[in-house]
Amino acid sequence: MEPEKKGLGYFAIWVWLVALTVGYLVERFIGVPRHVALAVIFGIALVKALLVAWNYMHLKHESRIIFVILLIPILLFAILVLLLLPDITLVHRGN
Amino acid sequence: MIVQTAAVENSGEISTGKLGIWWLIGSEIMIFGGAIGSFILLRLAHPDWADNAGHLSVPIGSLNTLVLLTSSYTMVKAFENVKKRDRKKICRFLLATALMGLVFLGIKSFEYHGKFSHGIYPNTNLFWAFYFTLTGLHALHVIAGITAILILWTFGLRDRLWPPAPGTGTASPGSPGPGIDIIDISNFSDPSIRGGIIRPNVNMSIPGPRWSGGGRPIADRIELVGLYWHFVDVVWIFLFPLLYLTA
Amino acid sequence: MEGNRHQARGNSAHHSHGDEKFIWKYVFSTDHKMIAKQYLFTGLFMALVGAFTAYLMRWQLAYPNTAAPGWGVVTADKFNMLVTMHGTIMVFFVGMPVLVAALSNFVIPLQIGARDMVFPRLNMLSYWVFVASVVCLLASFFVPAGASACGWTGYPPLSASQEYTGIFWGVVLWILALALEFASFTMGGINYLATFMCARAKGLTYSRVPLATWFLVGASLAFFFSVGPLIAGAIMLLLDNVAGTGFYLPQKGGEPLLWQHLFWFFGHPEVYVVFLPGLAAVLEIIPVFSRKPIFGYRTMVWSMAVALALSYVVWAHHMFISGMDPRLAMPFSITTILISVPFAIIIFCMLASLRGGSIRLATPMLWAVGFLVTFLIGGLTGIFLGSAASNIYFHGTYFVVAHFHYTFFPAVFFGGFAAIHFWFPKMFGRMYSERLGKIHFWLTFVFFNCTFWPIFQIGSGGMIRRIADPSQYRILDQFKTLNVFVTISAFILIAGQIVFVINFFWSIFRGPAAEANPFRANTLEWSAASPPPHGNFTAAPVVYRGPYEYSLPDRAEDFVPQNEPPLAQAEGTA
Repeated sequence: MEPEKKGLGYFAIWVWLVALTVGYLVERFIGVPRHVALAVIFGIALVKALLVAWNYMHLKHESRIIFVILLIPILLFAILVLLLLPDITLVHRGN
Repeated sequence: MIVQTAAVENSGEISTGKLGIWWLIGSEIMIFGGAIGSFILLRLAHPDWADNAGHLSVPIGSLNTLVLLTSSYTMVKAFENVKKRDRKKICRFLLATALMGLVFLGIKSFEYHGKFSHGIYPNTNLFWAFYFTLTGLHALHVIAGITAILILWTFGLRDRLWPPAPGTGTASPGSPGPGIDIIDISNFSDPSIRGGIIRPNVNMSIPGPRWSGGGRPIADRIELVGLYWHFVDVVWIFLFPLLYLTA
Repeated sequence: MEGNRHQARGNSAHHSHGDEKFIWKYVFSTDHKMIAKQYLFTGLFMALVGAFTAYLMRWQLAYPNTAAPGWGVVTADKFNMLVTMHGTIMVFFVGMPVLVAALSNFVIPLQIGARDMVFPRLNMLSYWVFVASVVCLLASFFVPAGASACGWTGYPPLSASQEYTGIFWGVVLWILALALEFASFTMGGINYLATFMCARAKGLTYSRVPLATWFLVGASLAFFFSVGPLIAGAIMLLLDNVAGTGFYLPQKGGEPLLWQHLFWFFGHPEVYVVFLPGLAAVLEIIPVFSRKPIFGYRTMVWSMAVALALSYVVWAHHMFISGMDPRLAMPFSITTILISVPFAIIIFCMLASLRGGSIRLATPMLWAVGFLVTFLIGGLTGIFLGSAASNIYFHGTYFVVAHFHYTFFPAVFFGGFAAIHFWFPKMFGRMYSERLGKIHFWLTFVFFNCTFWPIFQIGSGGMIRRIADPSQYRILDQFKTLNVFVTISAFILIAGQIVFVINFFWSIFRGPAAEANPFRANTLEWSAASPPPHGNFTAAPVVYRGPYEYSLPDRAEDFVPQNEPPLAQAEGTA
């Protein structure tokens, strides 16, 4: 519970978030191969989301029950998308 | 399990309000998950949608991302000042957050307007249908967040974030009634403050624990609204690359 | 008795200050018990509407193209509308409010010893959003072209574009009604879950929570995590209708199967959303009326958890003949067969709980046993449908209709009536009439089976679902008499509910006053007054033991309430 230090932490996180957002643009200027670019883009998005959730939403201080509440829907989302892949994506690609 | 015995409200770790917000976020993950998942599935099936995505302006989208990220920062600063009980700063940061939310919506509607003027509508093709649905759904959440933040801001302006210090005012902060130590909802079950249930914190002259929601100060709600606001931010963090950067 | 009752009333009036205006007490109430009653009455009213649609459909199937008394000839397009509205109303507007909302609202706070929900205002809001949803749905009967006729599952492209059914406003209102209902139950779900987690009485650990509360919470969980994708899907369906997008329209590059997946991703857990509360009531009734500890408390809670987890990955068994990827059929068949295991365990535990008990067949117990018998038939016929190979033959026939009526009807009505009768004294402070209750049970039980058992035969004989006029098919002529029999049984089944209505309302106003614990049960709700005042308990209850300690050998009484202190310290705390 040191508010000063944490305040600095919040700002540092913000700087990171901005830097990562600019990172998108840098990647576009360099012009890396497409699949690498996609991996980078969504990697950055994931990192940003985790930064916000972990620091601004204070998940790092939160009790385990919150993680359960969050992980169940994320897991279900993954299951839904994976199981629908053959029906929606592959069928349309086949056409 | 988590709470093995006990059972008193705020049995240490987590308040009911916070728990409620996290459950809300859990359900929102499934709502956005369904919509985003559908988009991902069909986007993977249609590499040709890249042409459509190319019509979206990456600089404008990036700017909007920055605006929303910064608003998350000011929101968390407001929460930080709740701990310091600095009402002025709380108000300032809340207002800044709401304004940035409005800027985000302004830029978004500028983008919409640009699309409409080029004859691009939700029914143009499936990509644009998804674009307008996803961003529109997100914008609705931004509007809800701004509304909640502005309500808290007015509470802050009128100095109602905390009950007055003991002895100075009529309000007694959430003192439980006789024999009640399960959960403190004595303010809800007291019919003498019925009006307060529908219109909270309007009439200061009626005594009673009207400062509190479940015995907690209004200021605690800044954290709750903050959680929601950050969640809306996180949704955008994923929407932006999905829609704009896959050209 | 009468005097006691008046005194009890006086006390409760005093407790709630007595000056509550009508509108705050009965309309915009934040009291969880009043909200539960509001949900109950709304749900029962919608059951009447649902029964009327059933009456019209059955009339048409038995006496095709003759005027049904009270309506007229049921034309083919109106038949489609009736099918749609019957399903929607019975599942979403009877099953959900009566079982999920009314039961959770009433039972959870009382059983965990809370004074109210942790978010009482959210609770009130959720009810009024639900009312808006009901209004939307009922209004759709009266808009141009009438209510939606796309089936209760709303499959696109039928539901996605006006050109297929000629109905625009009906479909839009149908989607809006569902959206509002989901919003309402999401608010409710947050409330039940947070209340369960935060407001349990002192000493009420997770292993002492009554099974009814566990199963109601399970139902909320099943709803909570499955409804999101359907809300997203409904938004897309709404936009298809009003904005001309083509999410589900193949000619615009969309994918109709996407809706089916999103719908059934919710739709299958929804079966458990309705089923688990019915089971909850039955599980609470069995130990009370057989005076025995429940068998396998932990086993049942864990079985429910496993069933919940599996319920999210079985949905495509509703879609075996939809044209989905055949490679998905095998995994979904396997999970479907798997999910019957935890429910079989639960049923066996219930049977074991009954074995050797001193069973008293009072009305709630009759409904509970009726639930077991009928649901078992529903569950066993589900095996035919769960495996892809036989499903392909059965799916489009009345066999499916019989099957899901054998699952939904026991859950909603047998479970619902069990719950209503069991908690009636607590809810209204009066006893129901045991004789009328039994007449009602036997009428319902006999004619429910007479109605739906022959439908298995009709279905496996090849009668197709959703046809408006069976007389157009030569092959169905053989079922003419059977269809008439089914229809007459259905009419008696519906008419038999009048007994319930009489019993219900007569007992609310004229029934003998109920004591606090008329069934001599252990759980906390029976330690409150009947009916409990606003705030439920006069003093905070403290829990010392599990909920099912019946017929302990070292006790004089055959039950030990959860809040009774252990013998050693009884003098100190009592």
